[in-house]
Amino acid sequence: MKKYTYIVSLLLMFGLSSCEGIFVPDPIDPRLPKYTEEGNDVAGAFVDDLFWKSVVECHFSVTDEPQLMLLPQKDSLILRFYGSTLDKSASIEFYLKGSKVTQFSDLAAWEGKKILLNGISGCGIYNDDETSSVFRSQSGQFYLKHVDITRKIISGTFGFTAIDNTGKIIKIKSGRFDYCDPKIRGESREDE
Amino acid sequence: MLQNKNAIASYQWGLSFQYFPFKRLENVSVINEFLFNHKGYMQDFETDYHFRFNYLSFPILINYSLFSDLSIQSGVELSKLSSTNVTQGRRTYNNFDMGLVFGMSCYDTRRVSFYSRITYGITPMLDYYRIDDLGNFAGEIHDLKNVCISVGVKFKFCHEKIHLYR
Repeated sequence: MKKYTYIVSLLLMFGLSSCEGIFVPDPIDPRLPKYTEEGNDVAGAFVDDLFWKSVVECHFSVTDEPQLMLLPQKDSLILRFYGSTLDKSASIEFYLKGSKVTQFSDLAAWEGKKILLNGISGCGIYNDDETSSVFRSQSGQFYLKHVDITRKIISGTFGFTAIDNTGKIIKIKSGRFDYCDPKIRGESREDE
Repeated sequence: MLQNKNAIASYQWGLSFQYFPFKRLENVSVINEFLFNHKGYMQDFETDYHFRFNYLSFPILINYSLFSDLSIQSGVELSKLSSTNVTQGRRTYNNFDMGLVFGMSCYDTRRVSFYSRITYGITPMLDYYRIDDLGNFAGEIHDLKNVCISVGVKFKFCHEKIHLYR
């Protein structure tokens, strides 16, 4: 009996563990993560007066690690940050057009660039998974401030105003992210 | 700059040495201390966020005895941040702190004396970015100065006066 309890405990430990990043509180507003360029694997923002924070959970082989999804055929870069607002699942996505990114090192060309989230050069989306509401940006910006090719770190900030199909408007404010080695879908190998 | 900021109650302990450097000015002395100083503040949002900092402090004070049982002091306090409860706090906050000290004490000549002191920080604890709602970096912030009001008790281990003259 003890043996089975031990095995079940081990499975639970490995299967349901969460892989949270290093949350360094912002010295001005500690609800937000501090803006860092260390690869702390965190993101945070205000959604109106509520606080959205990145959550990374691993369930057996399925993981909610932040994803950098590349769609080279559409000449777009999608960044998706999983998280929660008031402990309810919500994600923030960015569709950045006009990108020539096929591997992580290509992001170097984006370093220091501010992309307008006006629906033409880029779009920000807030997905409220609880109510299945999708808010698309009307205005705002995504700023990829720092790209470290060697350590595979991306850091930046964002803020936008978004609207859903019922006309409800929300403001995503003071957003920031800092990730190390984000998952890349569609990345071509560096040695190819 | 910091919103909803409040003071917290804290403590300090350490050793104090008093020297008498001037033969003709017996009521002027120098106080040199080595203190373990616990400082901090809290921010009150939906929940309270406590920021605690442990400093090793070295106040250097000039003491002037107004009467036999009442003295005033002034000087500087140099502090080094030794630890904090904030994650990666030593990367966020400056490790060196300097403040001006003003204080008074009573019953200095007795074995047990009392003191009251205000330490006003002159170097900012924080050098950080000013980030607006959209994520633009609009300059830097040099803010957060330690201001401490302390009251305490001193126990005299050695009653002998340390003269720095012959």
